[in-house]
Amino acid sequence: MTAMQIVIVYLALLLLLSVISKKMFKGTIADYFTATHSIGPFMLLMSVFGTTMTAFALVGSTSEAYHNGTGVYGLLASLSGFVHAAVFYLIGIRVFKWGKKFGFTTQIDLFRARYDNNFIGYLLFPTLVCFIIPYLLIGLLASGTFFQQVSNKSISTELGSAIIAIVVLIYIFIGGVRGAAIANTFQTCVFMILGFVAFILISNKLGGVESAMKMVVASHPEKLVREGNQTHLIFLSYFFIPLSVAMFPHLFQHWLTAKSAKAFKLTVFAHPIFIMLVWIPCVLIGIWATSAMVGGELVVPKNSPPNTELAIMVKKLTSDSMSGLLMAGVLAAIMSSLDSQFFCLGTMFTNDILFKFIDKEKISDKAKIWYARGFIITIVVLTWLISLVVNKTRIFPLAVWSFSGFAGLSPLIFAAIYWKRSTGLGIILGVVGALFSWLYFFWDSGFGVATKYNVLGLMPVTFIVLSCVIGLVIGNIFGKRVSEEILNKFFKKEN
Amino acid sequence: MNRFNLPQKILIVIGFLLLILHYDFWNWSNGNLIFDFLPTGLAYHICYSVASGFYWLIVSFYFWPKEFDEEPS
Repeated sequence: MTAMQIVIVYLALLLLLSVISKKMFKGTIADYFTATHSIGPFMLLMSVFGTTMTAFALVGSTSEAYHNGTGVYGLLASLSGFVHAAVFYLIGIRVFKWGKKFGFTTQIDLFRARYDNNFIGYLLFPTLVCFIIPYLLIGLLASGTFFQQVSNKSISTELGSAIIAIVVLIYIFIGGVRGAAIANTFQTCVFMILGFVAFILISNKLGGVESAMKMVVASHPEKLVREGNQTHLIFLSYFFIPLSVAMFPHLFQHWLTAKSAKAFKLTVFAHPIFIMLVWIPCVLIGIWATSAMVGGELVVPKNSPPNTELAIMVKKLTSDSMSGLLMAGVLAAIMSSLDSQFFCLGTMFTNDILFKFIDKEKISDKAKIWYARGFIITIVVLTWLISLVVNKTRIFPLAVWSFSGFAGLSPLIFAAIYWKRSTGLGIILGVVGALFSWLYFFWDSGFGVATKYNVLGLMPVTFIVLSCVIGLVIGNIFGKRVSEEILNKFFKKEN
Repeated sequence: MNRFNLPQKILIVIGFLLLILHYDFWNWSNGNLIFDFLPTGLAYHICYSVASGFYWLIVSFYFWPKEFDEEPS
């Protein structure tokens, strides 16, 4: 079978899986959006991990290692393993508990109820959509690039990304969030196994890991150290980036699908190990790509388009059918994030905006689902159109911009859970601080074009988080306290 | 800190230590290879990831908040 045929079979399998998951659908809006809290530990781990491992983790990390060396793993991956687990433990299980107790479907539900303030939702909704668009973009860009490579350039990047977007839309429309969780579990297994297989095959083709590394030592030893590739201040200020998971709306939705708080345990301790298993092969492939020679020629030519390093290494160093399987693995990683991101957009729109203007008792569950689908399609088309313009942008820096926005909002969820006396005005000013500082820095960087953009030598996320915290504190000084009745609802220990 | 018992306090301190140890400035310019293929900085952070997993394993099984140990719905 050719690589393209294998990818088509894989996409068809996904659609079949969604039809099977539809049989488990209970027909209610609660089941469509939260799987009626029925997701157990293993599926929760796989769907949470699959959602967080995006094009960024495979395509982006390989490309970043190619350009800036092995330091990318220590910069972000190893820290993310620790911090993500901390967020799941400190935030995730508490969000799940409140979500189950009060019937929340989205973050905005939580913030509105916690602070008894509807306006928070109207401000947070466009902010979350704004930050999720770059995240959607990297998925579409990477999938388009891979489709182009696997089809030997007979399918353009634009058509490739459109095909992937349509496949994801179909399976989430059929299966709801349970369909997304089942697809994610399958796809996470696929990309982890096939990613490891890719690593073994590529290293064998290069004569083994020692031989592959010898080529790098001979041609590009500067890729093996952080000196010249990262500054200490940038390394330290990257600390804030993994906090973004505290405010990812798609992850929030997965937390709410959990069967019980115990279901989180596996996710908490397995996450750092799983990140390592996915990132290390990609980072090594990335630096090998700088120097790997076969037949006296560089495997990845110097003028290769951005984000193509992994695709080229896989294509040139493995057989056509294996290349197809590995491409399917990468697409699996991309789609396992796109599905959750698409889905959460629809949930947020219907739950947080539409139902504030239309009485939800007066419309059927079927109509509610169609409103959600309409909004998802609108955002996906808009993001696809943006991808036509930014198709030369590297994935890693674009993803970091998205993460910076969500990280900037992370003080809000910590305040909601741990700062009893925080106020609605503090949340509003925190959102304003994070949003406007992000917009300013993003514009100042040429909309992400300046890949080494920094503010006083630090990552801009430092100041986005700071702006949010300042807004929170000012809002707390001048804002009205939440009533004791509401505080008791959220914080009083049950007998 | 008074509402935590001694093992919990030790675990919190270890957590902060792990965060601090992430900044391995002593490996910044070290381009030596371990096992002839792993750059020293990369090898250090692999160990860091394993240590993180082990730390959170201990937390998940011995320091899970009791109020969350509910029966599944």
